[in-house]
Amino acid sequence: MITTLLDGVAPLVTAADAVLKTDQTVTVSIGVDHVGRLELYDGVGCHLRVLKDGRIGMAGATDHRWQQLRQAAIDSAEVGTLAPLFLPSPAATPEVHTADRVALSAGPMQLLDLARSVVGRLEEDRWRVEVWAERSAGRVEVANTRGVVAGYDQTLVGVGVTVLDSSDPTPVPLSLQTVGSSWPTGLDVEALVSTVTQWLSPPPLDRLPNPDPVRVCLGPRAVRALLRPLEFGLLGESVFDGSSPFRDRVGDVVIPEVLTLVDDPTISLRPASRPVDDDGVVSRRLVLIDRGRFTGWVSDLASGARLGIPSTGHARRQSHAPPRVAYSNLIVGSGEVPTAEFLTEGEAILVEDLPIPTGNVIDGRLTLVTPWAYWMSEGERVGRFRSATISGNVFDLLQHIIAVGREQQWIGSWCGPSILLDGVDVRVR
Amino acid sequence: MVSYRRRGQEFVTSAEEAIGVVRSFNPGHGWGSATFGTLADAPPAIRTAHEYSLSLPTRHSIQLSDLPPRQADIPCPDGRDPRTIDLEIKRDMVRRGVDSLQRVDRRIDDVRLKWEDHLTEVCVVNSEGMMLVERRPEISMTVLAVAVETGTVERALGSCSTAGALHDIETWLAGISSISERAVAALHAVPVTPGRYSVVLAPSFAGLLVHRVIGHRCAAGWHPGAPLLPIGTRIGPESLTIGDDGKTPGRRGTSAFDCEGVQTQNTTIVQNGVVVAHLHTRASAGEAGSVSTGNARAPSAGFPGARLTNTYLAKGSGTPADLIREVDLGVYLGEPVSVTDDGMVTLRAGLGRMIRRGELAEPVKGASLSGNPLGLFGMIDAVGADFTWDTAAATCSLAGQTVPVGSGAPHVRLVEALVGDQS
Repeated sequence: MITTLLDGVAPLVTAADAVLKTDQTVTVSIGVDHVGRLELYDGVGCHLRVLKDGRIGMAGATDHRWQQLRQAAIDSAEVGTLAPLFLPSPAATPEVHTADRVALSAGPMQLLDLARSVVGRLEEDRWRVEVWAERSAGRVEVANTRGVVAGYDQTLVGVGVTVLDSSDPTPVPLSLQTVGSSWPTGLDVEALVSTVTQWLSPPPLDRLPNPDPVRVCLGPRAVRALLRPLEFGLLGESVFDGSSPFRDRVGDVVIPEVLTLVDDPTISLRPASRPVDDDGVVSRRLVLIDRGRFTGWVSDLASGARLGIPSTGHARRQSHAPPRVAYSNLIVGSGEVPTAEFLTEGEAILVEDLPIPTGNVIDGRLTLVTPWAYWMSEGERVGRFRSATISGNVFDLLQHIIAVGREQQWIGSWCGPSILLDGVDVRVR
Repeated sequence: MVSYRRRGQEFVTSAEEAIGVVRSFNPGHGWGSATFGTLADAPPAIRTAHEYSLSLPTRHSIQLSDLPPRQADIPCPDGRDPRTIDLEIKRDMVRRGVDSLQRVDRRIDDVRLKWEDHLTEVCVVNSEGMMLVERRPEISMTVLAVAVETGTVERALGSCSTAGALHDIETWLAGISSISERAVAALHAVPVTPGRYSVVLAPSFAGLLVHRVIGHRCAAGWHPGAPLLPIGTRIGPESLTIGDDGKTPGRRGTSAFDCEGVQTQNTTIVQNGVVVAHLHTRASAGEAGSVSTGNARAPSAGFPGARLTNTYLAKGSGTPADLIREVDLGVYLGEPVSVTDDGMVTLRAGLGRMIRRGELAEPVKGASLSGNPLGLFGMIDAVGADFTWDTAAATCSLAGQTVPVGSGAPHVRLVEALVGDQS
């Protein structure tokens, strides 16, 4: 299909590449009133890029009217940017499983059963529960005029809950989800349900039981939010021509040596697993931070050509927007201490979750407020604070890490451990 | 879309998209919905939606508030179709913007300016005889300016959105250098000392606070299962009147009708400090025994929920200078750069100023305003008369669905507000 599109445009331009994505997503949701909703999204998106007379043109479409799409891309090149476009040549792709057979064959009724099983497990008089389950199945095809033709099927399955404690006069919605490429196992559902119970059950606390400084444990979800500034700072564009704190620091130790950060699209059956990126560049594991040392960045063909650096295979293209750089599966390396040992002795604050910072937080300045922080004593959750605030510059906060947990947790396409901090001020109320 | 960076054009691109969504419900059953790409695919999508609905028996019946059928075909306003603007004019405006941003100071290290225009044709039909068509134009520009000096890097952001009026963009371009000036000023701005202060909020800051804290909590279904602010709740002083106006001309959340075909309207949700109304879709209104307020909104293929359009805080009395003059020691918070609302609300400002003895003093950076959502409104002691609609290209994201929104407010003053430092 995609080769038909390129065959038609190839004689008219110097070079061209295209990505075609199809997606069929079924979503079921069950509201607090038990009224269900079942939705089907069935869509196609295509992005075509051409190089003509040294200028780059781009166009997108959500149908198969290839002739119009070709013409729009050529028209765009007439006024396009004078820039090089070094398309990749055909190369062996890694073997990456991107689609789960069970997920592919699942229909609306299986999703409904999945959602109902979660509702059934969480039904308590004091909780108002809304549950959703979603399965997406699609195909990505990438090709260029140098002969690259690649394609892969993709599945994504998620199940999520929003729970409100109606015994609380000012309840805070707890929203949790588990997302992966595979159909969730009983253990996945069990983990989701038990997380809800663990997070909602402790009684409220409005002050620190012990005013002395304590250790702070950040759960994987909180770590993901805290490390968000690094994701901006490791974009090739920021590193070589922008405001990254890592600019001109390749090879330097930039964060504590207990942290390693890897982008890996070649792991099978994770949400961002893929054999090639949307530019047709072969996927590979990329170490971004190696034990604190800045070793890599992410780029795509377009930004790489602008900066004179190679693509790392991190293009994401959609029909309605120009290509952009995007991480695949982002993995924070584990440590050596079992996470359970962080909290078995003494007292500590456990921060299970923090909101993902919005906007460009490349400078590392954050104030993150969460209702999901607990006072821990001898390994027990004594109570939950109404709110806990972590504030400051993330690059300073990371200097307070005293341990990184041995167990990692997948949260969508992000994977990482808990971390233990000392000497960090967490304001609670 | 046209994008320029310091060194020149980054890209020019275009896209044409079409998507339809059909939803269906049957008595005693839930909602079914399905998308389609072309009209030829609509009949199977209708069948799928119907079958999906029938697969969801429920004891709780869906009630839609009444809506008389009507037909209308609303053309794009004269001279507002962005497709008729020559590409060279668009590129020239972007280039002029880049020049203005760069000329401000030698410390401006990078600038990015993006032009984006759309013409969206929306068609709403239903089984009750409704047939509405509307063409909605939009032009937006977004800016990033980066200032660098001896290892210190500061950024400033800005944007403008208009319903196809080129002169709005021209007016905004005339003042675009202020964005670079903010980035440069931040280089030597000092962190604020955390504590409780009298705080004066710029209109854009106040507008975001109103949208995020009060607007969300008065829109049915703002968070699945979350309770709305009950009618009759006092949220603050008498000077607070808050509304949502989906029909005010030229704003980002404006349209003639919502996703269910209900005419948009101006709904007062807080009158003299007291919650008086909620924003509804036909379904949430049917459930509440009310009528739809024309707030059913969704991204192109999404399921519509009660969402905000253009949320505003009505003007009070006094000039910005009046509000500042009465503050001995305080903080002025300018453009907001981020907001979180998870039990506690925190808004972070890009650049602010200290207020000393009734006058604006040194610039401060990294300042944030935090507090219990309703507690913040209880701290308001003055609302200015200088109401203005924010022209920023703002969006509102809830449950993974993003819609364009507008906000408007005058200057607002809070007392004893908690100001933090994130620098």
